[in-house]
Amino acid sequence: MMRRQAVVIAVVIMLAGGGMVAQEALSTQGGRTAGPPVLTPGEIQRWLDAYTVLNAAEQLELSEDRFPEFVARLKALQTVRRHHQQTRQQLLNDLRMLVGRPRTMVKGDEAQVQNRLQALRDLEARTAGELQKTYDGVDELLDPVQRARFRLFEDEMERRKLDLLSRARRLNQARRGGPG
Amino acid sequence: MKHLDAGQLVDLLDGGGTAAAERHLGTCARCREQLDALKRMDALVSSVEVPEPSPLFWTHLSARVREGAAAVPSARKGPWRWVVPLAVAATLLVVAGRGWVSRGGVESEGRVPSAIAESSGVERDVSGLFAEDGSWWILAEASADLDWDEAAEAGFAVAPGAADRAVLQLTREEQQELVRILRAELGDGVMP
Repeated sequence: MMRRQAVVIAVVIMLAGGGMVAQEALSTQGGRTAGPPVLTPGEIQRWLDAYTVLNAAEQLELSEDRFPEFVARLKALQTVRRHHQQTRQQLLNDLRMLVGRPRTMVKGDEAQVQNRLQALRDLEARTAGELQKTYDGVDELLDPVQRARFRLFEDEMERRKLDLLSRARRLNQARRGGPG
Repeated sequence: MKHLDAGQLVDLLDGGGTAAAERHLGTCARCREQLDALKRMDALVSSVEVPEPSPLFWTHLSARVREGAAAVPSARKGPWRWVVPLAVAATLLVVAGRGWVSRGGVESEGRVPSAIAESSGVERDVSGLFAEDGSWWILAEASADLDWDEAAEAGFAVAPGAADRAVLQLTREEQQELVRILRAELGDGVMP
């Protein structure tokens, strides 16, 4: 079983580069001068990533020597997935603007639509390959049982994150003295 | 006769309007226009294929409608007293419809997460990328009471990244709450 220190180091690595801002903001909130500080999506994401890493360490029972590499590859997988989601959403937004209101279509829009559709197809094809590659990278570090656990773990983590978001919302409502 | 109120318009939409309301409609272009708008909205909502949701969903929905109605100041009397509850109900129906459709594979306009360009070391601003869409909160709210095993058997799956979509819907206070929870989950020993 892995020593907790190794997990701690990995989690700190996941938080590095922005999460500290959030921590500082929280620790200095006693003053309550100008309301809660703004957290960037990236900062919140890093906290969630750290939570994912901590749980992965517990559930996959990785050896200490493989864990740092696992963290790096897991992060790569998440980055590919998020980049795909963001780019896809951007393309969908473009398409929505182009075809959402047919009356506003002007000459040249059709070419742009074709362009975005092609970009969407390219993205899906490219991402499938990239995801496969990053999954392969994670799998290299795992034995068959751990690979199976990892698939189940990913599914479970998504549910847990949704639960956390829901809890945050409810706690905030309770703190404010009622449903919001 | 004064213009038709929201309740009378809804009655007409359902085919249950009074004779006086029908007569007024024949002479008032403004009320006809309002009724047409209601019909269009009704057609729009009806055109969305919505699978029968779980009983839990309707419990949440009715609670939300009650909350919305209760939030209207009691001094609000007169012909517009129906407008806010109706608007809340209509909005929830549309949002719910879109939420369920998105689960069926049709992309909603949801704010999708924070895809961060971590590989490049540059954090991209995604705050303006995703439009407001409460449908992800229906999913997140439902998750608190959901039996995931039953949901999975019914074909309900949470794809990787689903939670990321909801993160950007948090208010600043909710973000702070989330980070507090995460800190507690991670344990104080984890923090440097």
